[in-house]
Amino acid sequence: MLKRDTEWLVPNSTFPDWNTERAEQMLLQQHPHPFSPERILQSLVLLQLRFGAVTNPMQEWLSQKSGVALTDIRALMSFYFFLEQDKPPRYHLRLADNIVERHAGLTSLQESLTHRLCSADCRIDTTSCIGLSDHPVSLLVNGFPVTHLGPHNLDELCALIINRVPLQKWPRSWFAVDNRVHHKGPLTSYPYQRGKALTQARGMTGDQIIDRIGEAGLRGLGGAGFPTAFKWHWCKQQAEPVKYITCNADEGEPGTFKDRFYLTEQADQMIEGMVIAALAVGAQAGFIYLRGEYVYLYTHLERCLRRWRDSGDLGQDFDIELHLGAGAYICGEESAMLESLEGKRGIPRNKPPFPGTVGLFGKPTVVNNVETFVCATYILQQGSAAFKNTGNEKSRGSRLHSVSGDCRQPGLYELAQGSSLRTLLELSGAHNTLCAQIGGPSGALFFEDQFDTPLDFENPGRGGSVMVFNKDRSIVNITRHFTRFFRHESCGFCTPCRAGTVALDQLLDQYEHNPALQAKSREDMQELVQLMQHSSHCGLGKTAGLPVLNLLQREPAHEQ
Amino acid sequence: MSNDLQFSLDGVSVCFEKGETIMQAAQRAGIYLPHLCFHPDFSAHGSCRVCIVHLQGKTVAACTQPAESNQVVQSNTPELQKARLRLIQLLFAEGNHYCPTCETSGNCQLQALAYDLGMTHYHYDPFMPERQTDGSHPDLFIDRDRCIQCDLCGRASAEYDGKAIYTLSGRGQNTQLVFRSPSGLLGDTNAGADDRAAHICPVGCILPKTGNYQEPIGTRLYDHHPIHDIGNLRKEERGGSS
Repeated sequence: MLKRDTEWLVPNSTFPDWNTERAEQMLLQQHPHPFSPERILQSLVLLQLRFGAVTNPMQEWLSQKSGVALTDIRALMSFYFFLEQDKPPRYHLRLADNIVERHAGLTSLQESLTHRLCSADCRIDTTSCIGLSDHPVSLLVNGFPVTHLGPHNLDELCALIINRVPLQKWPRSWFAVDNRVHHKGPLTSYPYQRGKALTQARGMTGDQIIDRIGEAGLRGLGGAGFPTAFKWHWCKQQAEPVKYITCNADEGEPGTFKDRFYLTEQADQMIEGMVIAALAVGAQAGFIYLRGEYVYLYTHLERCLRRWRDSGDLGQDFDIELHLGAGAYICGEESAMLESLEGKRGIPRNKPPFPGTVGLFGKPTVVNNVETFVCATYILQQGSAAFKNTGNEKSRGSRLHSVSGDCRQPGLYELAQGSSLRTLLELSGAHNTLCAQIGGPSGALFFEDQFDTPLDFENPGRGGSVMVFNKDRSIVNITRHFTRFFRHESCGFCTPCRAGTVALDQLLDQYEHNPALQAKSREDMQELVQLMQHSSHCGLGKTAGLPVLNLLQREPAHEQ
Repeated sequence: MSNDLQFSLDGVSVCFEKGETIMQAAQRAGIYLPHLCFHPDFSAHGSCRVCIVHLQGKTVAACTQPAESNQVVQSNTPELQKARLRLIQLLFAEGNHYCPTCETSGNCQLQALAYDLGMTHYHYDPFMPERQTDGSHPDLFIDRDRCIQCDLCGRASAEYDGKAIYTLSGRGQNTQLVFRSPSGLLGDTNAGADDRAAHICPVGCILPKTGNYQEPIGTRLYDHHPIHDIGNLRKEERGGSS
């Protein structure tokens, strides 16, 4: 059994010098085959975390050891933005750049930091949402989250950096992540008994487990809302004996942080759900794909997994490996996640075949979101009826919502499926509200006349997040921000997304700044969004134009 | 003969074999579906999206969509032709394409499709990316300005030449063609001018260094024949089609 020693995985401002011996030892502590081609991305990520960068000599060494061409290693480095080849500065500040952080003063903070720290050993840039929109302005310092940066602590932050104070000596409260649930429901308050659901499952056949999940009406909580029992059933009935369970913890949709709660507070329920799924479909191995932004939860999750191994529930017939992403939103798309788990660039696959038939390493694979596995454990422990009796006809159960933006109490709220947006806005103390973005940029923008819309699987925005905007906010700004986000995160595989996101950004600029061309840019944008929706390879491209569409629907063309 | 294995394409009944895609079946039936990244000899990629067709309310890529019995597929509709035109215009806008000085002009599939779809202008503002050329190879020249990221060279190199020299790197609009050598230069690979990969490019990104500009304008592949008549031909492939 591997020791998986990650004591070094803590906020650091100095990195040890790299040498092959030290690198090999560290990689071997994490995995018995760190140089196998499918493990190469994980080895790059671990080298990055341990030594602060993957420099050219390190890439060459890894290429030699693994037999993976240097060009392919460089291709990974160029795809995953958290992999850096330049020698690291003492402090690398990555400010979370979601629209919520912009509204909380990100731009002026960044300018101020850049100005005041221009001669410090420090690099300042931005990154897409890091899952902390309820703690604005948040940032990653050498990979670890610092929350609530603002004018009140800016001086102190600059002083710490200028005086080269080690990260370990920074105020601990700065790294605090608040996972309080402001409105609890069954999932966040039931008396979970570790292993009880699993014991239940052990006394059942695979089909019985799947029936139980089906009776509860559980649907995937990652955004697509696909019936979980059907997914499991499909995977189970494949003749291929090797099967996998994968947990999508790549919570990248801006404004979404509900999985952060589960990964921190209910990791056991998630792991138990994965073991139950493995029993149901007959899988031998499982993987958790944890987004790189959540690396601070890595050690915690490893410890949880170890406890399950110690109790004998993991490691015999079924074991789970923890994988890290490295700054690529697209890897939240299930087939891109599988590619990434195989150690490749996260390019979504052609479907069909779907993962249930041909998934990880070509084998039948269940892909579910963190919250879905948590719900599976709930259902097995509390019974299908307990889950089914909450929610509405087509959307059973309850779920956690991530609320951020212009409200008194941003954070986590558990509500029955089908609760109205208005309820959530009231609970969170939103006031003077102009609109709310449901389900992140790829979801939908709801205005006051739509606030009674139920939040469930039958309405747009199923990802479990609400970003609130008050009447001082500009819809054009919000739209531009989301459009740039998609441009930045497009994987570059297909024409309509790779080139379309850029063209859309240009057209939006023209729409905003060139009144003479407004009617034309409007028409062009409408057509381009439709093209992207219909012809893109995956969900990213299909939804990348939705913010623009929302804008145009809200701003009717001026009468000529 | 069983009639089970057939579907309707623009009202014409097309037979297919189990496992075939809509594109493969259409090609065997002699029906041209516009495309760039597809080639019958290599695995499908599905990236250019020019071969999109309507399939019972959905828009799918014909090159990756499995053919199924009784499907109703539409391809040659004004709406789809317009969408294809826009995709071609996006490809023109995102690269740096100067047809009048390009050796491939007249033999270029991107240009041929542009003519075929009635393209008269870019429609989108050109992105004007900065892309590197590579002249390191003794016999081949790489002009990334013209690359459309179709990965045909990558597939030909891996699946036919058995060399796996060409591949794509980067992300989003920074996606680029790269070569598997420590220096990243084509000259440091074992690429050969006779490799299939060196002749598969549908545009003018991979070119021989000698013998160019000898074929007079006016006598080239698509000068007198639209691409929908003669297919996605390469210079070497006159007489056959893909």
